[in-house]
Order: sequence, then structure tokens, then C-alpha cells
Amino acid sequence: MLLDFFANTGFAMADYRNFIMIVIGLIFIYLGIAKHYEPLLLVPIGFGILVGNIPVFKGLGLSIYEDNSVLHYLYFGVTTGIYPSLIFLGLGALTDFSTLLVRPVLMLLGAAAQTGIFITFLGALALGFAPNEAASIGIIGGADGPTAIFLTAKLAPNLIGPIAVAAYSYMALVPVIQPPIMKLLTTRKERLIKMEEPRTVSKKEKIIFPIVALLLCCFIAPAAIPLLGMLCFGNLLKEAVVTERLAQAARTSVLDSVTILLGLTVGASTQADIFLTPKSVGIFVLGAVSFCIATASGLLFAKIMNLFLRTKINPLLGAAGVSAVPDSARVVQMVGQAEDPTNFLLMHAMAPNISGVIGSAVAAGVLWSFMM
Amino acid sequence: MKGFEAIAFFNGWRIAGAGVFIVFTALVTLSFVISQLHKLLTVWENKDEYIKNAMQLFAKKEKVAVHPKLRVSKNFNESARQFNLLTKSLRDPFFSLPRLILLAKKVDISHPHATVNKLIQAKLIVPDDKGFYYWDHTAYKNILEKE
Repeated sequence: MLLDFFANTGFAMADYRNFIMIVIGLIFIYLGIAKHYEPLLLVPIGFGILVGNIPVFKGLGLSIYEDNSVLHYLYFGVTTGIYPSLIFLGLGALTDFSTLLVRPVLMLLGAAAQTGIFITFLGALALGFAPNEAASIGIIGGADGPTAIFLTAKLAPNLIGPIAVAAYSYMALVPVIQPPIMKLLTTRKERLIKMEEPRTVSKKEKIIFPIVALLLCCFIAPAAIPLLGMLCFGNLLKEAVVTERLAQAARTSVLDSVTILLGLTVGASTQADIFLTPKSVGIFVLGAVSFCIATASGLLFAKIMNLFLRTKINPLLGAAGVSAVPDSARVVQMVGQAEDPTNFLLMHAMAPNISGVIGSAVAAGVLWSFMM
Repeated sequence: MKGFEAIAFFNGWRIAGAGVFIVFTALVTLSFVISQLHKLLTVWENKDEYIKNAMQLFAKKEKVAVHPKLRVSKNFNESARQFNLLTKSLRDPFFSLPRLILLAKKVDISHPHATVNKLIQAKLIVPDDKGFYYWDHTAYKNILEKE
């Protein structure tokens, strides 16, 4: 009887891959808690990896991939794209678009950074991935976890685990990945450029912007509605002031609840037999390439813009065109201040950063519509 | 299938090109619209002043077009009557054209130069070959009789 009991425990059913994934989960938790690398994401994901890699007896409704399991019901929000949309709602309610409204030309840096998505898409096709998988891998370059999960859930749900882990990992590693690229592609003189003081943005502009952005971008790319629509709605709730209660709920309880469920279930979906495959290694490599190309594209485009602009912009802002808000902007500030401590680039960098969020949502919509 | 063959087979180049183009179009368009937004809002917030300025400009043009005194007289005979009275008010039967035109402007006769020209062509205002002109009352009576 004891032997039968032992045969049904996780110890009997585990293999070395489960332990590898458990170690990865522990590393994520360590990075989140001890090193403060995106703790709100890495801790739930890390814990989810632990949960998902405890071996269970199939048929009892315990695994995330079994229809009648609790985790499966919670995972529904990931596979249907509900959680990413709700996260964008909270993000919109948190974000101040003033810096973008002050200098709209910086939006182009966000656009340039999204070329990394499409270049990686080509690279993934060249490596033998199917088009829908290649599109899901390419979107990692947008450095936007919810967008990556949303698109992967639609196009390649079997790759949600590795793509989500890759996307969030690279988002957490922005302070490590971006600075070398920024220093390589810019000169000291360029890094010392100071930006003009911004003008004051009126309340009316801030209210009109999300409506205009929604109508314009979603008429061009209707498939971006689930993400952009929620982003703009959340922002309108924030700026309208009269709906402050709803905005408060969106950026606190809704955002936090969804982040918990998204992180936990995505982590739990990274089961060893699905995650530890050569494909996952390819995804991680391509994801890193995508991220690097996105950063480089933004930087180089900023340098090209300076050829035509009378008032030069600091090309470091191009690195903030990836949509890792606000980490990319903080990295730009850090690198800029390393050259000149009086150079405050953070608020200026938020403009391309936010534009990157819009750009990656549009790119995801475009890829989804092409793959439909 | 791998490499460039795979890219070409799955229309990768077109998808990537179209994707970059669409993303850029969306953000460039949004950027342009946003850059004009604060200007449009400034016009909207000061719309009363803009409307008032526009109305004033329009009103001036209207005055020029519809003021009865400035309306071009289609009736040549009416012009002749007006200038007949003017020449009588001069007291001197011989007058200079600049003086006549100045007087016509003072009483708000429209297009005095053109009207005087027509009257000269109709031989109601006749030169005396000494640099002055006189009103031909005989010709004027003939015009009145024809009416």
C-alpha cells in the first residue's frame, strides 16, 4: 500500500527535466526578490514554474493542460487574450502621455524600434519555424510581455510558455542588454545632447489623445483593437478625472489581479516536456536577437533623424522605443547621466517608450491579420 | 525548408515590408495629428475672437460690394443726371476733370473715373482744347428726350 502511495507521488513521476525547470523557477524568484528585477512579473512566473513542474497523475484534473483543472480555468484568460487586454487597460490608466504630446516626432523612434519584430520574423522563418510561430517569436522584439502573450495565444498557443518566459526575461534584463548597444552605436558627443524643456500640455489634449489614437490606429490596423482599445480606454478613464474611481480600479486591483493570474498561469504552462525542447532554445536566441535589433533600430533611426532636424535629439532616446515601460526610459536616463549628471532624459525617453507600446500593439495586430 | 527559400515561400519579405510600412504609417499619421492638436485647440478656445475677426473681414467686403452709394450705376442716364447736378454746383461752366472727379468722390458717386470716361465718350463732357472741360447741355437734353 505504501508502495502504491509512493508510485502516485511526484517523486516517482519526476524526471531530470522537472528539476531543471524547478531550478529555473527558483532563479526567477531569486532575481525578482533579491535583485529586484521586475519582481511583479518574475515572482509570479517563477512560482508558476514551480507549480507547473510538480509531476502529477494525468486524468485527475491537476495539470494546467487538463480541461477540468483549476489552473486550466485560470489559464483561459491567457489563451483567449483576456489577461493581456486587461493589463493594457491598467497600463493606460497608469500612463501619462504628456511627454508624447509635447514632442510627437519622438513617436517615430517607437516605430523604428518595431522593425526588430519583423526582422526577427524573417529570421525565424529562415530557421524553419512556421509563419505563425515566426510571428509569435518576432513579437518578443517589441519587449512587451502582454502583447507577446496575446499574439502567441492567437497564433501559436503551444509556444506561449517559452515565448512569455523569453519576453519577460528580456524585459527584466533591459538594464543589462541595452547599455552596451547604446554605447556601441552612439558617440560621446551625441550622448551629451540635452533636450529642450517641454511645453505644458493642456487637459483637453490629454483627453482627446486616447480617442484620436484609438480611431486612427485601429482604423489602420483593426486587429490591434483588443490591446490598443483597452490602452486608450484606460488612459481616457485616467484623464477624464470624472472617472477617477474606475481608473483607480483599473491601475490597482484589476492590473494587480490580472498580473498575478497571468504570471502564475504562464509560469505553470512551462512544463518541462513542452519547455525544454530545441525549439525553446531557438526562441530564446531569436528573442534576444529581436530585442537587440529593436534597440539598435531605434538608436540608428534617431541618428538618421538628427540629419534632418534643426534641434537635435539625443539618440539614446531611440533605445527607449522598445515598449519595456518604464525600464527602457530609466536605462536611457542612466546612460545619459553617466556622461553628464545634469542631463535628465527620463521624461523625454518616456515618449518613445510609450510610442513603442502603441507600435508593438499595432505590429501585433498587423501580424495577426496577416496570419489569419 | 529553411533560409531564404523559406522566407520567399511564406511571403516573408512582403509581410515584413508591409508590416513595417503599416506601423510607420500609423505612428507617423498619429504623430502629425497630435502635433496639430494643440494648435486646433487654441483656435477652438479662442473661436469667438476668430469668428469676430472673420465676420469683420467679411462685413468690410460686403460694404464694398453692396453699399448703395458705391454700387455701379447701370443706368447711364442716372449717371448723366448726377454729373449734370455736379457741374451746375461748380458754378464755372469750364472745369478741370480732377476737380470734377474729386467732387464726385465727395458725394460718394461710385466709380467716378469710369463714369466720367463714359460721359466724355458720349460727348456730354466736352474738352475745350485749353485743358478744361464743359457740360454739353444740348446733348444732355437730347438724352432726356430719348428717355
